[in-house]
Amino acid sequence: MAVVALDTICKRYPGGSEKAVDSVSFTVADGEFMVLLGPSGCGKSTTLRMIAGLESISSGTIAIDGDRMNGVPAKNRDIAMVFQSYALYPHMTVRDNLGFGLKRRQTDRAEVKRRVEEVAASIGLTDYLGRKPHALSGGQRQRVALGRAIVRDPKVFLFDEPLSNLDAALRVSTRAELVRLHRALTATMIYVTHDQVEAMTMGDRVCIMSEGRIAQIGRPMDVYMHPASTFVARFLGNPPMNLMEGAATETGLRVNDAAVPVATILNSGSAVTVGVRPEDLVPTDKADNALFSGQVTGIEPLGAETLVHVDARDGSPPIIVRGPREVAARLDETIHLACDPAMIRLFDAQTGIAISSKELA
Amino acid sequence: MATARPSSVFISPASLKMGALVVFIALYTAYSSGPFVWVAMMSLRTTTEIAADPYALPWPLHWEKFASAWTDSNYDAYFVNSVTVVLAAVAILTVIGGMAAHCFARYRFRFRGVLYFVIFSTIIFPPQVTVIGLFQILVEYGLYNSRVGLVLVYVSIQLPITIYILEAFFARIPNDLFDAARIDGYSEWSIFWRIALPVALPAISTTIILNTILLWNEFLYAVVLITEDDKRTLPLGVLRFMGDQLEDVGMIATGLMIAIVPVVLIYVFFSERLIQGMTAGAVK
Amino acid sequence: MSRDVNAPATAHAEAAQEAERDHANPFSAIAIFLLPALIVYAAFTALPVARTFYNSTHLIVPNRPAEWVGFTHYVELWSDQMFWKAVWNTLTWAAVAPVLEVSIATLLALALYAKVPFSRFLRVAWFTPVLMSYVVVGILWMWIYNFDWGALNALLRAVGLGDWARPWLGHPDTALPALIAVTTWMWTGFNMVVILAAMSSLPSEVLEAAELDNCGWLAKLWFVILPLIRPTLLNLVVLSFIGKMKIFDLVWVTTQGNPLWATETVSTYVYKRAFQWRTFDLGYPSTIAVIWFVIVLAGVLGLTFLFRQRDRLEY
Ligand SMILES: Nc1ncnc2c1ncn2[C@@H]1O[C@H](COP(=O)(O)OP(=O)(O)O)[C@@H](O)[C@H]1O
Ligand SMILES: [Mg+2]
Repeated sequence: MAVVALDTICKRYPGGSEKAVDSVSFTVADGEFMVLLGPSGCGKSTTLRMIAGLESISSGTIAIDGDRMNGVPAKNRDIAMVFQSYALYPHMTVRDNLGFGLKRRQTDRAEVKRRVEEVAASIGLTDYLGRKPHALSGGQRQRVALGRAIVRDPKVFLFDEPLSNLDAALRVSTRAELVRLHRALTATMIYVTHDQVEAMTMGDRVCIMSEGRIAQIGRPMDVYMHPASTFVARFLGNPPMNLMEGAATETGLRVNDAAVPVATILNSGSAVTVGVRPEDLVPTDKADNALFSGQVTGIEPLGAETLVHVDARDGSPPIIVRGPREVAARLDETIHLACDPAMIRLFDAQTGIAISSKELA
Repeated sequence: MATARPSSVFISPASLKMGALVVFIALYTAYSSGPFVWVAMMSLRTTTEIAADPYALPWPLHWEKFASAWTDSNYDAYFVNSVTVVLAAVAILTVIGGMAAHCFARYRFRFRGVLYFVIFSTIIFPPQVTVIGLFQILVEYGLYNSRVGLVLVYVSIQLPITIYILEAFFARIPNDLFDAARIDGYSEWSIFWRIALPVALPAISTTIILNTILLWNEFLYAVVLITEDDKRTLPLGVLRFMGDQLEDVGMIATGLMIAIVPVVLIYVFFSERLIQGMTAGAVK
Repeated sequence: MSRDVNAPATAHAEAAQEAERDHANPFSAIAIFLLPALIVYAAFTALPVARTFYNSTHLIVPNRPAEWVGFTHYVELWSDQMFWKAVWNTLTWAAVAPVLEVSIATLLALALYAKVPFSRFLRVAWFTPVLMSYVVVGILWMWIYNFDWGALNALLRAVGLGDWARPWLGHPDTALPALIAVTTWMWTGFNMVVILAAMSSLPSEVLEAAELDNCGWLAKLWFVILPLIRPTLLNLVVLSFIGKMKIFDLVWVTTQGNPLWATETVSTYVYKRAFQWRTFDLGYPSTIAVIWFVIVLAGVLGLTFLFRQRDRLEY
């Protein structure tokens, strides 16, 4: 059992003018894989380090299994952490690196040895137990860092961008391995990353942060489908969600030339930001009711799919469409785009916050 | 001269330059090493032999002079004093200098910059400004004419440079390493002993060697703070020995060699590390 | 540890929280790590310095309480011929030696940089003198300068310059230069090693670029190498200056300031006044020490400032 609860956590570094972390609250359920996602500098690491007990908490409380942790030093929190730089002890062998934390808690030498060897076997490090970190490859070092956390059998695992120093292929395989590990251990894990693919593929839930605050929390697919703000809409998804200007009408919504049958609570005439995922836009012949019309300014075949850039040449931001492997569009031709009204997301034009909407029958 | 004879086709300007270089290097090497060769030769010859010809090769080799220098004077006592004082001072320096350097490199705290600057600026203090006050204070503490007092003074004079060298090294150890050890359950104190010190071993050994040499040679504080013969360190002893044996050049040379040999031995085994330590303060 | 003083209105509510430990910078650990060094520093460096400053305005005679004499010592010092002689000698030393050491060292470093054979050996050999105690060095060079059988005079006689032979340390005109030659002997190798390290770490592209510009060897040295290692050279000059301002051991072992105060330095003078002359007053020598401290400080700051200034003008 390990439930990690953060209640309006704030962090202000000495000398820092802004709060690095501002009123962050969330609860990670027992055995849950929670991902903290956000651009660099948004306070993810700081949040994680406060959970770990490496940074003091300016205000708010952190509780693990209901016990207040604010004043408890890291060593008494029964957590393990994997660092981006791996932070392996350079003067110790792999065996000693793995056993270092255990020896502190477990005095039975034989038990430490047994446990270290068991974990080393499970992550394929048995042959490297006698080596020092400098004699290992990047992937092997990453495994040692991982093994050092596993061997301790902690209540909570914390990861701070553990894959960002690996090459692309290794990152994909390690990602899968981490998911497998999470299932096997059924442990509570909190995972920091700026990589949305990691967040989407690994997390039970994702917590997206921006400038020290939580932008949205939810299951990855929910967040993807229903971004709570234009920030999330643009941050999640590659390419990001297309945002267009629109206005509410008596009968629904007007976007460019199209009358879209979507009901809102907005007064007729008020401005709104309209979001559509690139994969939800399809070319249409009906020019008079197109959501968006413009010239094709770029075609990027990616193999499995093709990205088409469309620009209205009226100052509004260009639109990206995700099409199949073969697209009919040709460069410089004018095309018209439409979309299923159910896939349209609306945001307040001023604040960028999502507005609930409903498709009209 | 070669340049005066253009017909000489054998000496090109390039080889002339090379020749000048070789002569310059040879002269400087003679200037630099000659004195050592000379004293080494004299240390193995008797004064009578030296008086006959100061520059003859040492033959036969009078190794027994080293034994008699050791037994006929207080050399054994001086040597033991130097060894104990230097070893004790270096051990204390390494521990408390390492602790302070670790603290400066690792933690952020109020007055950190001020404290570091105050300690570091002591490097330029002329010793006169401390030596008189030190003399009075040690007399009052009852540490005058005591090896303990000398050890503490040695610790204090080498502390700034030790902290300076170690801090620079500790600061390069990534912080994640310490955080990992904290999460692994270790206290700040054991992190210092089990992580910081072992990882910084190259810098630690540099300061150990540097401090050993500098303190082994230290003279000013020793001459002010030690007057009793049985507490003298080797530099004082050598000087005393010279005072006693003014005419006995051969024996003084032997005494000098006894003072030189330990340094040379350290140098032979650790020359790179030693050069690194000696020059650490000079390279920015 | 350090708190945000400009905490907003929530400061009140946060105060209780902030009292909790700063995990990244635990105060108790900082105190434990720092305390031993600070105690040693306070007891054996700060306190003696303060004591010396205190002494400088007092008459300090054994078995009597210190007597406040105001600035009489400072006034006395102003007309103390021997002090000014010592200052002159020390300043001469501190001005000449750094130039000699650094310039010869640069030449030696260039020789090794040009990859002459045995350069590893030469580097080690030239460095050796700096490892010796001034006591050993002093005795050794007293012999070398000996009139009857010293190596220098023997050499002069051997090459037919017997007229030049003289008791180098026994004559007021030659004693100080002779001692400066000794410190140069000791420190040049040290400077050479530092300069060589600086040269070796020069970016090779710069030198190759100079090569392409068809730079001559001397031009390359003057316009490329020296300007690039300038900071190192200046650093060494300052370091050597500081060292010479402190010089005591060598003089004490060889001449003790003789002949005729020709080699008296401030350090030896302080030592004589404090511990040798049996005047039993520690106040006056303390005054010398304080004044000297100020002069050294001014010298170091002045040099640093001078070098900074020129650097700024150039770039
Ligand atoms: N030790 C520190 N001292 C002062 N400011 C810091 C410190 N660590 C991080 N910050 C600041 O806090 C903010 C959040 O940093 P961090 O949590 O590391 O971001 P992330 O991990 O999301 O990239 C940044 O603006 C950063 O500059
Ligand atoms: Mg981070």
